[in-house]
Amino acid sequence: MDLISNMMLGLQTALSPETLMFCFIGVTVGTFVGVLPGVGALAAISLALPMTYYLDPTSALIMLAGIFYGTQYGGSTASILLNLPGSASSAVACLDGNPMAKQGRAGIALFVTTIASFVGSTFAIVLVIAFAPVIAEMAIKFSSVEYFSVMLLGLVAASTLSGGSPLKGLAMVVFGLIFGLVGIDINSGQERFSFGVLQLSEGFTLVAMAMGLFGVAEILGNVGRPKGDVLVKAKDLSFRSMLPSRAEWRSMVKPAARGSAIGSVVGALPGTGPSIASFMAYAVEKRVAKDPSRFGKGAIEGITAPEAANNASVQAAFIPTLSLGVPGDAVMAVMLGAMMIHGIVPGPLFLTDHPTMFWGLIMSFWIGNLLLLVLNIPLIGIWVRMLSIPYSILYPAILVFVCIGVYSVNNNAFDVYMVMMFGVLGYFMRMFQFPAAPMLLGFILGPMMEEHFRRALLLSRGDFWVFIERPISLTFLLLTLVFLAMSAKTVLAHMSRRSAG
Amino acid sequence: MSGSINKAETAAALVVVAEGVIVIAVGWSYPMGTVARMGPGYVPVLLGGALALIGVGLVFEVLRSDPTRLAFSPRAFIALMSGLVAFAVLVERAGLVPAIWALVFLSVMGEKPVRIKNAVGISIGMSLIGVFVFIKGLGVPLSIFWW
Repeated sequence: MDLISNMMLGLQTALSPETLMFCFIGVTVGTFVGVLPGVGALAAISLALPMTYYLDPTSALIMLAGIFYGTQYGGSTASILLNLPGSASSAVACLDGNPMAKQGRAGIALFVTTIASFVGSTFAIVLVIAFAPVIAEMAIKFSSVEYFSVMLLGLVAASTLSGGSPLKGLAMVVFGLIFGLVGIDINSGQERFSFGVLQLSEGFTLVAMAMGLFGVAEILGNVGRPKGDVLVKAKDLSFRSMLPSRAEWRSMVKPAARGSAIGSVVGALPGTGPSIASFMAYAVEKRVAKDPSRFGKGAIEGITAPEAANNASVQAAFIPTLSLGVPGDAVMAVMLGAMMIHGIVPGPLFLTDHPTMFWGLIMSFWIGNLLLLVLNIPLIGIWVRMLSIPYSILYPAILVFVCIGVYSVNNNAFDVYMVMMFGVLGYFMRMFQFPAAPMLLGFILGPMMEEHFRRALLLSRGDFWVFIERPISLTFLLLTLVFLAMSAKTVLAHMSRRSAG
Repeated sequence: MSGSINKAETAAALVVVAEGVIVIAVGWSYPMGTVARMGPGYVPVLLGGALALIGVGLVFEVLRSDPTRLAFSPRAFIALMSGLVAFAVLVERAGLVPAIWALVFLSVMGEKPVRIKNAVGISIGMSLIGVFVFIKGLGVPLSIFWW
């Protein structure tokens, strides 16, 4: 069968010593970064991005993907042991994971989250295999009109669902789109917004922007903040203490299944990422539970479902990214950026043009998740020890990596100043609760969107009706309107609550 | 807290409006073209307009919101920024290793108490990684020292 031969092809790629090594490096770095509070997946991926310039594109993608799903495994460790999420999407794991650790069940909590993560990922990988090729096939018929509409939907969804004020999210998306304009306009050769700065004629460097907004800004916000104590010593974590009882195993099954399903759907939608998935899964578990009062006091369902959900969503996020070339969140956008840097055009043709890369990447997900199982259960002690590295040692080292990494992109000190500028910008954005992820998404999608927008209207001879008369495009636009209406409601609620109180 | 104006948030929203206006103004200086044949100025003016509108909406949303507590640590800010500038200035003129030492020593100043021993350790470690991984391994074209 076609599918089987494709999967064999992928397995061959994924099992070659070189890709295997980069997969291993990716998941290890991912777990490490996930465990450490204050360093997120985006910072890690943008740090690794310049290094992938030296790799072949398949290994590069496999490694970057490994970092992304690896962080989801590691993230819950800090949540459980420190009550401080290692990454944003594992914030929910604090709610029940930390109480479990306080009851002396830290080992079980760590074991359960790893198993749930594995279940969620596995479930979603199957969906990627099933749906990505089908969607890609459908999308081959897409013209610039559909592309513009689906990207618009993605941007609006990502900015209005990011939590907090939807207007701030929208402002940041537009801001990112504007940053994407900087440089030479490919249609006319006109330099835009470069203000005579030579280094800007090719636009801002993606790595400088990502590292500034997510690396430097994060450090600026974290330096000098106190950290909690690690609740358990590495040597006390025996394998036996980690094994759940039979009853606990049984109570994991349904939450893991529900979490995987929620995570997959949320992950595959444009604009929604692992954080939303895990919060939704937690809310659902609490609602279906016979005794909701157990939640927040160490309920095993309360860590199982969210962890399954955030891992499922991370894997499912590859569906739109690989089949449409439309990323669902900022991390996927950086992955797309990485593909483009390697000269690969993301989109429905990616699958037919680069089958080895596509299937190799998918099959590497299985291998990566198996590796993570090993890294997170027998070797959990290592990561627990990592948690005791003080931040005062970490952040200068990270800054050095940021500087060398960003310098090496263009071998240019100018980008180091840019990283600094974006760091300051990101720091102030954070202070005023303007989300940075939509800005990065806008920056990466901006040039593509402008291109499609201009081409669509060129072909329709300036008739905007073209976006509405095509059914697929109309559907995307209507969905966009739904998101805008929902956020208008949120904004009005913010305003009326205040005038009443 | 109704009645009082949230000055910080409102100022931030006004900055968004101002940015939108600036983008429109700059975009206007490029050829606009027509809808069917858009010039390089068309999309920037659209986006600037969108940003300005969102900013106006934001002003109304945050005008009377509860006051936000802004945690700003000038010490960390100055230490980290001067570290980055030092790296950028030194890396091509003095070489990678001096740039790393300068960055590390300036950035550890961001925390009190300043731990000089840590800084020495991190500098040595990162210099080794910088030289062996980045210069020797990945071939980043930088000199180790200025000679």
